[in-house]
Amino acid sequence: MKNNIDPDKILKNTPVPNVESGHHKPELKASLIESMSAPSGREVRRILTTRKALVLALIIVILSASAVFAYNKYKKVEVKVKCNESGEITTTVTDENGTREYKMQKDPNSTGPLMIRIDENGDPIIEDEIPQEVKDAFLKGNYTKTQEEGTGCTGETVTLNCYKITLDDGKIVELKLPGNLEDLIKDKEEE
Amino acid sequence: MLRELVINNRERHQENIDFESISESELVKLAKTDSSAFGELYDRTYDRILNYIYRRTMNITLAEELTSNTYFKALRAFKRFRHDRPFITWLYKIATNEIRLYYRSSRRFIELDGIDNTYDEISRIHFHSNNNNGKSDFETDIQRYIDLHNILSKLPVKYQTVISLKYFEDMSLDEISDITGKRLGTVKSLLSRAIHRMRILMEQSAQYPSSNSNYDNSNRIREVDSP
Repeated sequence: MKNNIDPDKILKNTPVPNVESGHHKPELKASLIESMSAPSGREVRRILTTRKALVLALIIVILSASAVFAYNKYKKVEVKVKCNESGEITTTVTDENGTREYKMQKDPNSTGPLMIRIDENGDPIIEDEIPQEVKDAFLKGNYTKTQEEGTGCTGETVTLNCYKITLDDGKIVELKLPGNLEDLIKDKEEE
Repeated sequence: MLRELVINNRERHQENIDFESISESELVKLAKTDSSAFGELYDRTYDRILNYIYRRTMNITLAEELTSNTYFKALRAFKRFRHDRPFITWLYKIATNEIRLYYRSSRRFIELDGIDNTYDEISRIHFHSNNNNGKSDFETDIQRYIDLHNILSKLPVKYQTVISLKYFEDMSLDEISDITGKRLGTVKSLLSRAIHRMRILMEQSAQYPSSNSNYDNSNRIREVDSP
């Protein structure tokens, strides 16, 4: 057994290999720049949104004002949304009538966040925009924000921001999303 | 603010200003809207990231693949990157995570008998040694590094990371703390424990003589330095 080895000295004195960059360097640069060069930011966003990120990022639930009003008053409703890698959305609605599962297909051209509104009958509908009244109430600061853990469809744990927004007429809308709603609204406006 | 940035950016293009003269933090601001600025950041950092990953994996093809992953992840998260912190340490952080993910998925470290690269790849590897004739003895240098790599590969990844960042990448303890997301005290403690574990492994290894004289090469030069 040797007993006077000094790893610190060996580490400091061992020559370190250097690799010359090959054709990979310009190729990767071209790919990165191509990914970035989009006229309106829409394409960048599409590239930034990889399939896996899409699954996580697109989970946003909007309960419509009217439905939420009814839910808050009379019913206890739970909505779970999952999106798989091929863009298939599974929405599970649990209310007084039991649990129902809905399957929908996301528009492949849509790059923005997915919103699901639950209508008066408790059926989910895909929406493209956050309703103006919801935006207005949020920007006025009429909301409370909490966080909870959600699960992506590939099993990852995601932290979701949960917003309870009180609309001008007193109805409450709930939103759950992995990012900030403010950023989301800003992004939408930029688009 | 963003609009100003975009306008400034356009002006720069119009005036054909060289990005090389721009500071990193300003470049990061520009790169959020300008792909050429991001390209400049890439040019400034690519070699360091590639070399870091190569020194951790000893495989050029794998290093290039993980470097690609690093930059694409950086690009994806770039909007959220704060320009008040160094871009390079942020990249190192992503690269470190990529290496960790790779080893977690492969679930093993490969002990190397020799260099595991093709002839073309070997021609891309070089050392700067300080032996008698001032030239690098590639065979000796690569074997010494491989011996060390094999010892390191027997350590837990967190130890490999701090050792590699400190000794091969010349990172300060503060930078290592930033890259690993651990407190300064934890970094010092990790380094100390890593060295202790290395000493035990080296004592058990036939590759390391009891005297350190053969490993004296104090004027080692790294080719890839800070941009």
